[in-house]
Amino acid sequence: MDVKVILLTGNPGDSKCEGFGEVPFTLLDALGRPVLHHVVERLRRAGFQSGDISVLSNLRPAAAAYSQRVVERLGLSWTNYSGASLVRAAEGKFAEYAHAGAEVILVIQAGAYAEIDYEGLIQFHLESQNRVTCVSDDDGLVGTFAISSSRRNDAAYLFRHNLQSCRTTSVPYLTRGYVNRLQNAADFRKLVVDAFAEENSIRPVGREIRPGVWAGAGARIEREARIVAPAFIGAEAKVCKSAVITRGSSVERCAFVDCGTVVENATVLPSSYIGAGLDVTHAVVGFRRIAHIDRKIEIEVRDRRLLAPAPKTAAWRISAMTAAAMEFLRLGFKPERRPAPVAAPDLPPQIATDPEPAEVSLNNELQQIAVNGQPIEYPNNVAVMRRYGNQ
Amino acid sequence: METSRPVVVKRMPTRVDQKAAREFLREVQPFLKSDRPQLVFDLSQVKQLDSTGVDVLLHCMTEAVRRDGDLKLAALSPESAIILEITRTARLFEIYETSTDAARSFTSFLPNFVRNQITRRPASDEEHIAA
Repeated sequence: MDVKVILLTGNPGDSKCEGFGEVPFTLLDALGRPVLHHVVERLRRAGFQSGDISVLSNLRPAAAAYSQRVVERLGLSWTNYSGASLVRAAEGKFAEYAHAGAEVILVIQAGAYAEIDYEGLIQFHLESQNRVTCVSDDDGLVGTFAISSSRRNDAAYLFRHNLQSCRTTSVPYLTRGYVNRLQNAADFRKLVVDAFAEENSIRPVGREIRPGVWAGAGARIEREARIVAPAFIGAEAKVCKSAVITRGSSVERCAFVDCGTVVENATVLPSSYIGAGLDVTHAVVGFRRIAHIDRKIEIEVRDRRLLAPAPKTAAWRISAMTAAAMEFLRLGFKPERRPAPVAAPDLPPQIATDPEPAEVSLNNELQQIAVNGQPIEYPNNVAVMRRYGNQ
Repeated sequence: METSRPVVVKRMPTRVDQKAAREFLREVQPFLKSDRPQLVFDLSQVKQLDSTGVDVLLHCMTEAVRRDGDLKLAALSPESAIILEITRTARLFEIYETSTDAARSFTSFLPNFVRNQITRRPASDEEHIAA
């Protein structure tokens, strides 16, 4: 049976989609891989080839470049209709697949992460003879639909109603799998925390270096850094000394957490730099933005001392090593410059120090002082001061 | 007991970057140099605060405390609240919901927590304290 898949990353309604800095949450990394990767893996396990899946989006140029890299890394075809309605694009793709002979077309709004048995869904769709089969859970529609290719009008109706209602009533397919609608940063964090708790099928990409602590290939954790389980440090990420990563935090690939920073119940997105001595809690951080979970707000941070893109790994390492080597050579060949003596501040005469303090004798000759008739021996460079009264 | 010294309430600009922070510091400098300055910074308009802005806040507080005064923050916008939180500086300031609350806090002799304890006590205790 010929079944095709249309994955929609974006909002069918308009060009603005729910996401982080306009990048849909499904395209962000969760424990080493984009959420979309897990959806596609599930489709592949159900027998779909890369050629059967099309990814459509309507992202703005800034987010589109990042999204394109993510999708192309998955080996999928990606088409962006920047600023345009995704409805028309989806209708066009549906018609194209129907014309090419597909019998059933799965439409997945990749705004949510749902662990659906796709083989079971197609089987159900065929058996129930629905025109459009909606997948739902206890909370409502999940955003996945199986549509018979011959029902083009039903498909058009569904698309034009932003995947919210069907033209005809049909028996819904109830899924019992894990569903996270990824509507905000809190949902995204919940996805990560649930993955640590093994409540969904997402597993950290890396080696479990300690119980509950995973590190990707090439992750660098300095000796004085503290990683408290459960936590994830992605590939090529760096956690500097005195930093603390705790309470289900994930530092994604190529991210850089500087000295003394505490990352608590937060996700640091790929290739993001977090400045030194910060307190990043209950947040999703990256792309020069912070989405605070408790305050339910996302702000842009332009200060490079706080947030910035992480230095490019290979080039940055070479330049850093070169700079370190040059510094070593400079100090090796040149005598170290001592700082100029700092002039003493003007002090009142009562506490002003003697300009030429008397040299303290460092020999260990002992002086004998009698206290209560018993001689006690003190070295002559010890001063005894009386504090208060009888002390 | 009330103090007779004035409380200066200053609204911070929308964007507190390096240039704006310097300008703001120049504006508040005369107040900081007064005897026992009592300052309230209203951050309700702040949409962008960077580390220079945080440095200015800390500098102002240091200067105020050095002259036996105090600096309090009021009406923090969500953006400024997040920056103060991640830079661990929020805990250094007394923060109030409104500028009025912050200004009023200067006029009372007792610290807030003591006043709260007094108001929570039964009537007999209050009479005893009043007596």
